[in-house]
Amino acid sequence: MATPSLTTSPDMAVAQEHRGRRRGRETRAALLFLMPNIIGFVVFTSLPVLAAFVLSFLDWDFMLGANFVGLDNYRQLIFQDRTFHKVLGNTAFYVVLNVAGNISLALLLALALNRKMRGVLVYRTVFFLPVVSTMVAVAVVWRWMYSTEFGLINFFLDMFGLAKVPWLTSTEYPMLAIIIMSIWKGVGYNMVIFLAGLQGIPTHLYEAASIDGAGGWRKFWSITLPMLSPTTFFVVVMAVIHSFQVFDQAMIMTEGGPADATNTIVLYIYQTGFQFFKMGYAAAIAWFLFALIFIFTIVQWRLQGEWVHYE
Amino acid sequence: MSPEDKRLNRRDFLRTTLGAGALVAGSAALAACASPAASPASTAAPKAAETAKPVAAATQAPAPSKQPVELSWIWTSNTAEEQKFWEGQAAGFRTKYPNVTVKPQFLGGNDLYNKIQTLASGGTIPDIIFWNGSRVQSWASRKMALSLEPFIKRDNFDLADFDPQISKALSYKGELYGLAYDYGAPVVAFNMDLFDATGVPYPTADWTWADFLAIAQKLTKDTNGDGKTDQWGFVNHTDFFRGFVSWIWSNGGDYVNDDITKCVLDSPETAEAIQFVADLRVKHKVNPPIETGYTSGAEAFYSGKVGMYIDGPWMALNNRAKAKFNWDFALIPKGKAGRKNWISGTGYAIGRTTKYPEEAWAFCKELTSVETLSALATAGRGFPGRKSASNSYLKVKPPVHPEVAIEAVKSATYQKTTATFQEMNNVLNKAVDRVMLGEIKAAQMVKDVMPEMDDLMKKHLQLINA
Repeated sequence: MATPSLTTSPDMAVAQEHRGRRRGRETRAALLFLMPNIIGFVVFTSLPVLAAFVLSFLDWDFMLGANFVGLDNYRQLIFQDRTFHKVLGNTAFYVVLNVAGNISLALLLALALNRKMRGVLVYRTVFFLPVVSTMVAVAVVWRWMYSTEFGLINFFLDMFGLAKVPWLTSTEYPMLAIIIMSIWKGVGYNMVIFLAGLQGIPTHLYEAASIDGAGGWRKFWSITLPMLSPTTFFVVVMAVIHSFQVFDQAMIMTEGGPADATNTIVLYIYQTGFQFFKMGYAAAIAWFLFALIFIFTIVQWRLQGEWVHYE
Repeated sequence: MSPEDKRLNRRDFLRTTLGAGALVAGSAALAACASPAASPASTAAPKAAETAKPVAAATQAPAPSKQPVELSWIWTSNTAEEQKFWEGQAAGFRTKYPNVTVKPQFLGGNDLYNKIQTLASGGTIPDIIFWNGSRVQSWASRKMALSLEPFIKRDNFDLADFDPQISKALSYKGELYGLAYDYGAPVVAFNMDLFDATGVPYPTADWTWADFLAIAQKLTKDTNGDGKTDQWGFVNHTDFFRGFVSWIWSNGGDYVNDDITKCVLDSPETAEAIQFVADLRVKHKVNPPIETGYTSGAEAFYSGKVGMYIDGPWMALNNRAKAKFNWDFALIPKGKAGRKNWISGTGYAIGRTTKYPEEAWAFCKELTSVETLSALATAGRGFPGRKSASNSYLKVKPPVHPEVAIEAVKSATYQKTTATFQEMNNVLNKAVDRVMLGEIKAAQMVKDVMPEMDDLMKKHLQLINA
């Protein structure tokens, strides 16, 4: 063939090389801009996480030197430590109820506030306000409200002739109390994400459905829910990850008590490492938690094909 | 290879780096021809890293350094007022040692202990640390502070003015590690207005457990006639060491033996005492249920709906600020073994890794001088560690009878703790929680916790004999 192909034309080759060089430059520039974050992530996250993995095979007092103990920490954790088993159960209870409660309430609120009405911005702000409040302050106030004999909540229950609930002074109710508080605190965040999701659904779908004679309920099931599913997926994954790491509420409201009724995995890591001088063991629990969250997230990722619809 | 060989020894590491650091500092100083031979900064550092007795060889106090020195000071403070108070306590030192910059860091509650432990794990213990009786065994066995004995011997420092029991509480293996600023034994704080309104006479000096219960029962009532109790006789401190030990001792029981080698919790006397406190809530219902927490009992007391609360005399400062009623102190009631109070308190200690042991020691002395502690007592921040300052505590009212705090320490012995204190405290708190909730009898509980307690005692012995 006499006609040279386009790609081998000397002009084009130069242009391509030029483009390639530019792309290289762009990559370098991008990396440079990302550097502060990458360095921060490596130094403050990756390295400590890896160090914790090494630590989890040691018996380290952090003042008196360390012994290599192999898998002993993990063995004790899984087969012997009754406190850890209790803490695991408490955390699972929290994850299930907090995720379910938070997401269903957030969706309801988003639906209610996703329309034109007077003062809608005020409502949205009010529901979002707890999200931006400090957990410590919120937990202290709720602790007072939950007080069995001196608290506001039981005062109202009592006023309506209902029995006082031992919110934080029994082994049955404190976890529930913490979940209720956490839902109140966190629901606004997911509400905002759902609102954004709802506003991204094209209105012509609803118009078409109306023309076909679909009612409100039908439109919700057949349009809103499926169209919202990518948002729901994101919200569920994030909520599960966050819920597994519950800490502040339990720490401040009950210090994990009474009798470990509200002790959670992260609180137990904190106690074990920073109070009991058992850094190696604490690192093992932390890695166990990491594995747990990782598995849950992978499973959710795999399952998304079943129910998440992308346009 | 034995496990010993595999140890990654932090001390060796510190020794090497500190030694190297001192070398660099030393040669730099030489180069500058500053003749720093007398400077404790360059001479004491390697010693501090090598041995526990940094100044044992010196026979007299070296001249105070003139070169700029910075001391880090980690301390307790729960409020802005308290922080101002502590800053004021250090003012005298700043005047006397203008070349020393004191850098305080204040933290409240348990955060303070956790922060100190975390800093220690990073090898940067502050120069002056908060040395509370509860943490002494745990921290001294982990070599977080310097023994004060070499300083005391060299300076002929007179300890007679400090209560021997609090000095014992701040000592590890017979060596003093902290100079006490305050100490105290539990006393009953009672709401005089509530007693008056209910027509109950104030507690007397020789009241017994039976009297205590009878008074608590009289104070417990339904004031508005809706059929529900809205006023209580007593509220407990939920912490085992604060809320239960004096009851246990006054009943002839104990939690560890006097050598601190064995847990002795499973005795009938101990169980009976714990059950007595629990029954105040579970059976007699004179104690309102409160959430687990260090301040829960005090908060309930400040609500004005509870007649009595038991804690140390250091609560006077907070009582004055938060109790909107008249209140006073009374001695705790006598049990069948008499009135057996515990003593605990806090001192100033020198962080193990300090580069300025001389300045730190001067700070400890100055902050526990008679003048400083008199100011502390007048402010009501604590019952002073020095006997000669204790009269200042009597000057401030309420309480109507501050001398009760002095009387209380007379019948008191130091609170025994272990090198595994934090874990032991956690186990015991959880155990008494269950008894207080009525889920389990104390007699069963003391048996249930024994295996765990025995393990922690074993670990304690390993730590202190290491």
